Amino acid sequence: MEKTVLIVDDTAFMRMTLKNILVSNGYTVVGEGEDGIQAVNLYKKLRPSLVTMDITMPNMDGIKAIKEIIEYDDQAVIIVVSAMGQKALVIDALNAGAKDFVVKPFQPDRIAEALQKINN
Amino acid sequence: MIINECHKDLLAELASIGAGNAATALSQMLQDQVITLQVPEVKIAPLQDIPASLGDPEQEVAAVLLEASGDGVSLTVVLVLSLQAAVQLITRLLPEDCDPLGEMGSSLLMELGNILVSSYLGALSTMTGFTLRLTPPSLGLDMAGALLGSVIAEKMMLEDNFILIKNTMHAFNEDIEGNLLLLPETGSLEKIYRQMGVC
Ligand SMILES: [Mg+2]
Repeated sequence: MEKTVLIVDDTAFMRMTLKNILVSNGYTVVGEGEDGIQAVNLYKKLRPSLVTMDITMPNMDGIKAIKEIIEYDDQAVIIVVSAMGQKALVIDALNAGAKDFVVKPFQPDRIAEALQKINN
Repeated sequence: MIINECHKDLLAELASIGAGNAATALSQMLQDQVITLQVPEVKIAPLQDIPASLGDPEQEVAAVLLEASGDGVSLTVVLVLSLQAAVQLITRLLPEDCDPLGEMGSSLLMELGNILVSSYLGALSTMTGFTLRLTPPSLGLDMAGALLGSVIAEKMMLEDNFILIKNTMHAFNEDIEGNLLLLPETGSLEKIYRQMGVC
């Protein structure tokens, strides 16, 4: 089955960085979102096999978006990629339904490791 | 509130842990480029001195502004780089065909601000147990005096003093200066000190 991903981050630079890494790991980028609202709408429309989710974003933050996506589809596979590594925020994200939490900045290997974890 | 020597010591400790985190983050972004760090210089000054606090107010700078808040603490954080340092970082991080001050370059500076400020907040969070969330960054490119003046013009309820943390990092055979300005809301500093239980 084709591996598809929706990349959600408010900065174009981070979306470009993630895109390069995900494509080289065999994913097809089917959509990019700049805030939580776009993330939820694009998820429903595209049903990607993976979502990478930033936390600090305008309009709706990543934690809220994870909750809404999981409410719509409890099988959704979401990895958080955020600069905010504070413990309480990591716990919030995992409780909301994220499968892994990668702190920015990251080595490409760290993303590959997260992908391996969710594919097992 | 009145900031005494003990408070200053704590700020210096916070700045040095934060700067260490930030240097690690920056080094990772730059593909493990070795970055050496001087002990950050911490200054406390009255709010009205802010426009000239970085030296020449007419110097062109790039400033990334974020608001941090949580557990009863609110502060505005501004990361200021000389335009030259900003362009240098962008050209190291972007593909060659990108315009450093185009959309991708601006977005990189905002993400850089987000990442570096988050690494400082990580230090604050570890030292206090507080959890602080950030707003999305906004970016300004202008003369230092005008930019910083406009930051305080828009804020109310600020503490009378602000905190300036001057970081000097050494990478690519050059010194890169990154200044971090913290503008706490009234009561926030006291809350942080009380939580740490010293002074
Ligand atoms: Mg973000």
